[in-house]
Amino acid sequence: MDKRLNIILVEDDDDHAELTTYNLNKKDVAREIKRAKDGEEALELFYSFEKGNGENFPDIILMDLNIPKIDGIELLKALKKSRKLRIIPVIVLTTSNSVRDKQRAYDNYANSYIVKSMDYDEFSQTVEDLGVYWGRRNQFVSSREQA
Amino acid sequence: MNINRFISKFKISTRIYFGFTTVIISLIIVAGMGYWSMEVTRNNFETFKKINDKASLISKLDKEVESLKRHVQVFTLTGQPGEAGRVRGSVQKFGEGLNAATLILESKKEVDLLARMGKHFTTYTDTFQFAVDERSRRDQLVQKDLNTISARILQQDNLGSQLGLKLNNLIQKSNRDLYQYLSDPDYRLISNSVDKIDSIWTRNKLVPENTKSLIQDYKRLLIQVGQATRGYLFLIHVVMSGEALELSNVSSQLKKLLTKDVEPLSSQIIRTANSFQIYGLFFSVAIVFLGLIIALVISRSITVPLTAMTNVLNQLSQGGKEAEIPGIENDDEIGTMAKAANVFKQKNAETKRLLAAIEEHEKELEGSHDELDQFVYTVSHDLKSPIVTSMGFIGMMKDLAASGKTQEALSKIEILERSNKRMSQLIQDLLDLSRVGRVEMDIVPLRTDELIRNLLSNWRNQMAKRNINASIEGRLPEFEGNQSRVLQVFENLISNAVKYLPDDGNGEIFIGGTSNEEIVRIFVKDNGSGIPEKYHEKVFGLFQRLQTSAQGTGIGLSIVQKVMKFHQGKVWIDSKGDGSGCTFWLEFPVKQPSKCLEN
Repeated sequence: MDKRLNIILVEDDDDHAELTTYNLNKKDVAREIKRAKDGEEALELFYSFEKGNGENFPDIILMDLNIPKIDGIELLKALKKSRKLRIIPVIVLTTSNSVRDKQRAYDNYANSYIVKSMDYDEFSQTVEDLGVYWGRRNQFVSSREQA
Repeated sequence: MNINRFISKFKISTRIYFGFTTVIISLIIVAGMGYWSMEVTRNNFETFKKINDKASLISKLDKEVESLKRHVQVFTLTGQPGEAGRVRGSVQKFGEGLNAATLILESKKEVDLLARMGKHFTTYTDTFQFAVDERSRRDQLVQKDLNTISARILQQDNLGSQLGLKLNNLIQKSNRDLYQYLSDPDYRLISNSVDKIDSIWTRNKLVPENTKSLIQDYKRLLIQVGQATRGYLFLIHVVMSGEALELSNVSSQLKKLLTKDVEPLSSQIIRTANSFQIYGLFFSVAIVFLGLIIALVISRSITVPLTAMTNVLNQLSQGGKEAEIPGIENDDEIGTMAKAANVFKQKNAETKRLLAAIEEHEKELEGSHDELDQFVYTVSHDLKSPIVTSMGFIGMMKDLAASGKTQEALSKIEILERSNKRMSQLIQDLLDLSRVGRVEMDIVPLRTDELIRNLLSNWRNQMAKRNINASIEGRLPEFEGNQSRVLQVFENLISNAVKYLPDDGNGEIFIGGTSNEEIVRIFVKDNGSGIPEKYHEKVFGLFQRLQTSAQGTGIGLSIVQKVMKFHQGKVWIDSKGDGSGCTFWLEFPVKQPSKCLEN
């Protein structure tokens, strides 16, 4: 069974996006990565899955908080409002280490909050762990659904 | 004139002393009235008593006269010398009473009447004395002379026995008649005897001459006794009775005179007592009322404003500043108090104002604290971003190099460089932002038109590269400001426009302005895609960018807003975000207030 994940990456910074994508691919975590550059793009992407037939339905969403047009917290609210999208785990991946941001994220039902590390190895390891954990979880959930 | 207004002109202590003085004077007046009325009553009573004394004295005199008359009557009837002594005793008592009366009688009329009484009394007593003498003389005549002559006549023997017997009978009968006359003085008894003597004995030739002369003497004695008795009785019955009558007449006049004052005097005493009673009561009640009214007015004039003042002070103590302070125009202690309270009121108002100012300052401070928090948070977040990029790509390059992909690794150097440049730009812009308003800034009149035209010419090359056309409409209005900061505003706006305009050759930038006496408005307009209305506020926030593709730190518009605030001006966007372009409006005051060197 394919443990890899369909991932949506919401990230305005091209360089950060490249870095994340590189690491996801290197660890072979992702099956497919769809990127949104700002809040509006992200919303469009989400709604396309809400309306869609479930094909390539995202397994997790990696999301930066400080993004143009619509910020991450608003996106979280929109996701958790939708019956169909609210089951997708949302992992906040941001440079902000502020308690306030963490609080706001968890208040709006973010599943995890990960601070982008300035240490490359740590960053790399985090991405791998993330893939392993959420991959296993998905496997577990789908096996229960089949049963 | 208002009574309270009038009263408040006097000090409270003066009012209290006035009240006390009034009450004391009133009490003295009431006491004086009481004393005076008692004095008048006492005088009246003394007068009354004097009259009474006189009247009783006169009554005593009357009584003496009555007793005198009785004694005289008894003496007349009995002729006893003891009675005469009693009469003399009464006379002496009367004389004493008369003397006493002389001492206390005052008016001339009274004294005259008393003198008349004295005169009549003297006449009475003199007459009595005379009557007593007359009686004793008669008694002497009867007992001595008449008896002697009778005896001599009866001894005559020169008459015949018959004649002698006759004479004897005559004498004895005459003597008997005489004694009867003495007890019951009917003069016929005497005259009968005399007639018999005359008719029988004086002309009878048979009677010897010497006997005749004896009989003649006897006859003369009889007449003498009769006359003496009649004189004595005349004195008693006519003269003394008359005097006694006069005496009682005068005494009753005197009594009348004395008592004629008693009736008016007693009614006057009663009238005076009544009027004293009424006026005294009325005056006492009036004074008590007056005292009460004065006390009430004075105490109210003190307590009413004091109560009001207490209320006001209570309000003031609770910080009230609206409290109306009563009696502030008074000249008394209340006025002084009110003036002091007014100072508190003003202080309260000032305190309130200061508190409000402090609160406002606190809010401002809180606001700037929040701003600072936000700033620190944003800065730390956005500064980390290029570091994450740099470190990330270095790691990635190591990875690539280790796996032999040297070429690919080298290709990442460009990203590294860009990331570091961005880092340095960020730091530069943040420094700029933090300097606005913090470092002393000179305010000078700006020749705006010339400055902006110079600025645009610096951009000429870059604009040419991107096929952008820029123009200034008309002549830009001039205003006061800090030259380098104002230039930075325009630089940022132009740079923004250039950044976001497409380079398809249609990109255009217009700059223009209007002005009146107070403000200057300048716009920077482009024909790009514009900014949707919902982002008009947001774009001025720190690190806020609408497009991820374009370069820039997201600090430029924050600097613009801060510079505009510093110049007491404002900035706003006019754009729909539908491709019809975007206009940034700047509004500056023509003159900068003098405090612009603050901060």
